[in-house]
Amino acid sequence: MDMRVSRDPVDRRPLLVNPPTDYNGVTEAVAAPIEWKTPMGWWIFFLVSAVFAAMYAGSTAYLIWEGTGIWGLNVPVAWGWAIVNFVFWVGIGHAGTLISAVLFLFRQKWRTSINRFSEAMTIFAVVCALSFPTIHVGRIWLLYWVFPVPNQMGAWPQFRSPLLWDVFAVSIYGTVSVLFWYTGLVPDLATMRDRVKSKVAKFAYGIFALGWTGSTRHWRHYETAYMLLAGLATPLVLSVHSVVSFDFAVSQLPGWHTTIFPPYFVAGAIFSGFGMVLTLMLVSRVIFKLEHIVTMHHLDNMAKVVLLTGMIVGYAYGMEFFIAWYGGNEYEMFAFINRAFGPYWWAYWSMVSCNVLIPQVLWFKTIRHNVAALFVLSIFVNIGMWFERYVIVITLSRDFLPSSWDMFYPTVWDWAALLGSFGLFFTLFSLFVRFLPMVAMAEVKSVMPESDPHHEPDETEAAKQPATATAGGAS
Amino acid sequence: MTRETISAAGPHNPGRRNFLSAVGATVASLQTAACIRKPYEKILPYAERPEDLVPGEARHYATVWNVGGAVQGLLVRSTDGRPTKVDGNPNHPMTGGSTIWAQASVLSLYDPERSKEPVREGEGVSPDEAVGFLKKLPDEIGDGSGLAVVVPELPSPTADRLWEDIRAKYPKAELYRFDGAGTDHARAGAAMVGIEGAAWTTDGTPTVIAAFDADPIGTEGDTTAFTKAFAAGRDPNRKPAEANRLYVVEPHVSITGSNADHRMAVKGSEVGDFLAALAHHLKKGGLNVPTLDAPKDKLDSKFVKALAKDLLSRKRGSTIVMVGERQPAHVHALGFVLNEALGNFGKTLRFTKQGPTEVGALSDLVRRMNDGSVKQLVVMGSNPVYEAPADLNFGELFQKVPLTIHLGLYRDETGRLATWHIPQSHYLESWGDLRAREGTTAIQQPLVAPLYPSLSPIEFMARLTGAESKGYDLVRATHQGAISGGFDKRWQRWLHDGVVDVGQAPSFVPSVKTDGLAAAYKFRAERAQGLELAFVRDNAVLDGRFGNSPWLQELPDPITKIAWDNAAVVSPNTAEKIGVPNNLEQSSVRDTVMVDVSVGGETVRLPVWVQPGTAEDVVVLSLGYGRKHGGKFAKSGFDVNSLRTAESPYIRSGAKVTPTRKGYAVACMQPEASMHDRPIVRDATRGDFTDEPNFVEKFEVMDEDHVASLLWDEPEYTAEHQWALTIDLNSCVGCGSCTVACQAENNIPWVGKEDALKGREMHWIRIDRYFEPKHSDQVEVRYQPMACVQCETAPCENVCPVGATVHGPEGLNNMAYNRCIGTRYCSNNCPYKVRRFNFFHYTVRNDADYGMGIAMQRNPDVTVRYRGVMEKCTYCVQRINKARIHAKVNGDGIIPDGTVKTACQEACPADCITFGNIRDPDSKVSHTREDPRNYAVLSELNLRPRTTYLAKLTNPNPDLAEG
Repeated sequence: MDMRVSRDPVDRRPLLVNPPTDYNGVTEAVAAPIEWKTPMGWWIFFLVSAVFAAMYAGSTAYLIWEGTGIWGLNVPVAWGWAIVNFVFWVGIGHAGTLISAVLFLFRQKWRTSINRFSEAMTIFAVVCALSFPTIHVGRIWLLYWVFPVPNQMGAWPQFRSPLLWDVFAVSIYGTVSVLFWYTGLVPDLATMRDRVKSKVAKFAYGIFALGWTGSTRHWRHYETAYMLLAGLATPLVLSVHSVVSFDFAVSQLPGWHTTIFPPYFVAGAIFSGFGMVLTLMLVSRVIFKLEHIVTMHHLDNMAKVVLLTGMIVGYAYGMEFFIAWYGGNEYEMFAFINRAFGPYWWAYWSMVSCNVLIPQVLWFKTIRHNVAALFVLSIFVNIGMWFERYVIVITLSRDFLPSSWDMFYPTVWDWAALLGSFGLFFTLFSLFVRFLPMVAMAEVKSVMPESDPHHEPDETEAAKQPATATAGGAS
Repeated sequence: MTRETISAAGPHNPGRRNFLSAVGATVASLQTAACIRKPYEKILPYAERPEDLVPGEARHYATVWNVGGAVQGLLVRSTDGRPTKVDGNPNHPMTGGSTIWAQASVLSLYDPERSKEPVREGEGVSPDEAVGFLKKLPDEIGDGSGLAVVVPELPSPTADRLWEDIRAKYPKAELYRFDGAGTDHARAGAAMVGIEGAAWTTDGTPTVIAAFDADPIGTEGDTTAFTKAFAAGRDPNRKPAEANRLYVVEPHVSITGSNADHRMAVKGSEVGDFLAALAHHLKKGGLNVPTLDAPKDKLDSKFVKALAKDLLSRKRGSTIVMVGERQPAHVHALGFVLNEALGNFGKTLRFTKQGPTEVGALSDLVRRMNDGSVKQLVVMGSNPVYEAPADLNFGELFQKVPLTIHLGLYRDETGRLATWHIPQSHYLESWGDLRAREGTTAIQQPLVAPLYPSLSPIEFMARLTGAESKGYDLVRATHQGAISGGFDKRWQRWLHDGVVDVGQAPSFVPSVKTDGLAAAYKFRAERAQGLELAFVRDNAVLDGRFGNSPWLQELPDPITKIAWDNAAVVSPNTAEKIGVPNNLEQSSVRDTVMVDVSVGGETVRLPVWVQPGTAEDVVVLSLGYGRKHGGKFAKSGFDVNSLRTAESPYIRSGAKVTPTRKGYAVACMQPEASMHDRPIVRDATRGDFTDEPNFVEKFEVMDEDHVASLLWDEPEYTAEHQWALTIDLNSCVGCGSCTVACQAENNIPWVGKEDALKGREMHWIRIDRYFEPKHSDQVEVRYQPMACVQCETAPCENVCPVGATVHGPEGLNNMAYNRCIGTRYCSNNCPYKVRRFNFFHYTVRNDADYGMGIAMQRNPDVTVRYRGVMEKCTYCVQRINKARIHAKVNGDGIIPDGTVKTACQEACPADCITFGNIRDPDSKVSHTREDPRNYAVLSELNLRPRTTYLAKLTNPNPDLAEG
């Protein structure tokens, strides 16, 4: 492969689609996985995921039948893996909004190759995330009481509870994510409608394409709507995980009751979200032959985001310790010393290693450009961020009165729920890659040089270098 | 049925009617299968309501019971005819509060595993058949030359009378006493110095209490009366000379030892040496005590010297030397001698003349069984097959006796081997009478008719003589002679008050003979090397008789905090010697290893448990566990009776402990024992308290100005009643009565060992136990009962998303169970972790375990909680509301101080709990909150808890200050 970078003929930036292709080339490349005959590999992946998802469903059914006691919960550790998983999945879901909304507003053109993918991931992660607080309550059949449903008893939710804020924050986040994702999908769904042969598929894509014709008027409305949604979604990037962090920060537990939690959670969420996008992207771009659309340049950018947010998270870990000491609160001090050197030291040091130490290798460009290394690293990030939430939740095990201290031991049902939620996630994901364009074709096209034709020939110095601009076989 | 119906109609020509009936039958049967039908029950109204009986309104009846001879007057609550709660009868002299056993006894009434029918040679027979057998029994017994009757400790005037009847009818019959909680050693020790036919008791009033392997607060003697006086004797307002000081010498950490001002951990076999050394020093101090042999190191003991000095410095007759049942007779004998010399007879140690004389011990019976002269053996209310030391070989001999009859609540190990097993009535079903050691008699009146065909002990004794008298008549006959005329009226009064005001057992002051003592007090010159086993009566199941109570099984041991099991308890150093890890130093404290404890060819495998404060080279084994036929709950734990010998049933030397590779999980309910230097239990010595009465403030983490400000609006508590509770840590002895009482009052389920292991116990009030191990064998124990403290600014309330826990106007933090969806956030945010969650449907699980029994016990005034719901202490709000209704109907609506007592308060033998209205400045609780020792746990969180604590004061001997 020619490692030289193709550059934009106008502004000399490296091309985002590299090796370059034309509009049709993008469409063909993205639509191909949908139009292939279903490969055996997909079936295997889908079925394995579905089995795990079914395990989740089964374990949840047993949970509802028997009670939350099937998990390893107790007093003091009244929240266990369900909440760990919830925060973990919500965190994963953050990359989607960030890439879609924030990077969009900041005109980061490189986002176009990965935004569809990460938005889809966001939605599936939010689905997984929402499932956990739903099933972890003791009496799931009364869960609707958390919604402000008018009733003859005049019983209202209790608006001071962070859990209630959570209900609103996460459901709004889920709704906006779906809207955003779907709006972006409309032009591509129309493309698929026009391409597919099967009547059923044509009909289905047609329904969801909402009569998109690609007229200028459509494009104008579409882009306005997209911009507005991006504006709406942007505060959510900060709010959702801030609110999730309130679940902990608003309580008075040592190790939970800290003001650093909202920014720290947001940074951690972006960190974990990008970690998960990397994990999925690195594999998908090879399988679905999208290396020219999701290029090394994209991977490099994502790796830099991971490095940055990983260091923010590392800073937060350090600052928590510092404040625990500086604040002079002996319970707080104990909680942190206990995290690092108490019975759950292994979880703490797993977290620090995976989230802070290991990502430091990303300073090296060779690592950032090594797909295998990035994949391994992204797995570490995923594990590390799960442990981060575990470390936070397990702080419950030792609080104010030593008499109530106790340990938490997960049961087989805890494992079933954790692994099962991954099954659910990958089931949805495999359906996504099979039936929907996993790259935003229309958006990618909009950042190709062809979308920005210029009358003036390129007069820059670089253009005069022979055989550089078109290297890579764009002819 | 469907198929039959159709085929009856014939397949070829069904016909319209047949077809329709077949369809009808099918639909009907499908419906039956599809619906869960409510059980069919009859509701019978009172056609003629008994006078004063208001349905739903509880009534209280006085009765009495005894455990191992310790008689306790009780007041039992009857709800719509069902006994639902047992408490101490304040009229009874030996009762203040109640024991865990009295509290749990109401559950045992409904135990579905109680014996329900007579059994002859393993087969259940009708009650009539048993009656017929008992009728013919006198002919078989003849002159009684082959008759042996084993009775438990049963200090009953009626039983004494009936025994005389039996003896009159069968002149050659022999009576033996066997009771796993009995006082054989003490009695033998008394006999050694010439005290016979007497009962004696010590209350806790002495100013110096020297307990030599005695556990008067926990498992021995009249514990409630002792505890009450003991706690009162520690009142900080007492003058230094009147405040008591407790010295304990013992091998294991007993409840008494955990409350000691000075405690010395020594081998059980050396306790007597220390007593001899004490005698030596008392003699030097001028007391008339025989000279006894005592080893030099014991004579030089600083502890003993200081104790002797302390005893001598007090007023004569104001101290006590107590010797525990675990010690052999000669140590008891010396104990009597020392008490006599200290002038304690008739003062702190009071004797009454009572009890049948000529009662043999179990070993005497075994001797007779061996030579085959026992032809008819009657065992009443005890379980020697399980409890007797293994070397007596009782079970085997028992089976060789031609006719054995067992009367028992359960068809237990003895009942299984007996020719005849006769069900015994529960004490709540029986008429009877019991005389306390102090001399007062009380009438035992039943709360219900026997649930199963059964006989009470006295009815059974009457049957032995051929009489078929009812218990009621038997008791009346005993007391009828005591007064002349107007018996019925007096009788009613006795029943009402719970005490008989005549016929006190006469008290007397015996003299002691010391001549035989020196000879009896022989020291084993060479002591067996190796480990010494200390067998102790269990703090929960005692000798095993209470083993089938899930409440008691789940009540954690006050010291080790182990529930549902016993273990081989050793000190940290001994654990190291044995080569087992110190489980207390591991993060998973509950994971321990099994060890083989072997001695004299017998081996028992059980888990090892490290307990600081245990004497070196001692292995403490709790009795009463691992029962084969005690019921499903009694099975838990490990039977160690096989390691005991009749000669020395509680102490055995020369044992070996071998670790195995097998692990075991012990349900320890408080894995962390250290306070981590947090100001949770605050204490000071009496001296420091005098110098600095406000010492509790020194412990505050944050200064008051910082704490005082609130982020929110000040909560408004304007109601007439503002409830508050104080717990005096200076009185609390850690017995656990409050926990069981709360369980009985508030329908708290048990969770079983599996869930207890996971830390899901449901107790609304628990007793936190902290200790700071100083050395391996030294430990200072602190107890702290902990329930919801009803914060005024409760952190649980603002985190609940549905508002299921909210504040009432009277300062109670209420739980609306019906509103709770079970997010458990409240529990996370509760710094005291006193909220309890129904992780499973424990109530239904209990129903399955206990059948209708547990439903019968439940308090109808308290909601039974569903799975997925949080619960916690309510300050017994049902009692408050009852009192409120009463006050509104009968007065101005103000509940007078002292009318509402919480269940824990009522049960507390130490009177450490005070409850009341702080809007009333004269209420008792307002005063206790004014006490300088009053403080709030975690006050720095500004939660303004309504439950506050009064700091503990210790009373160390200045001479031992360095210890």
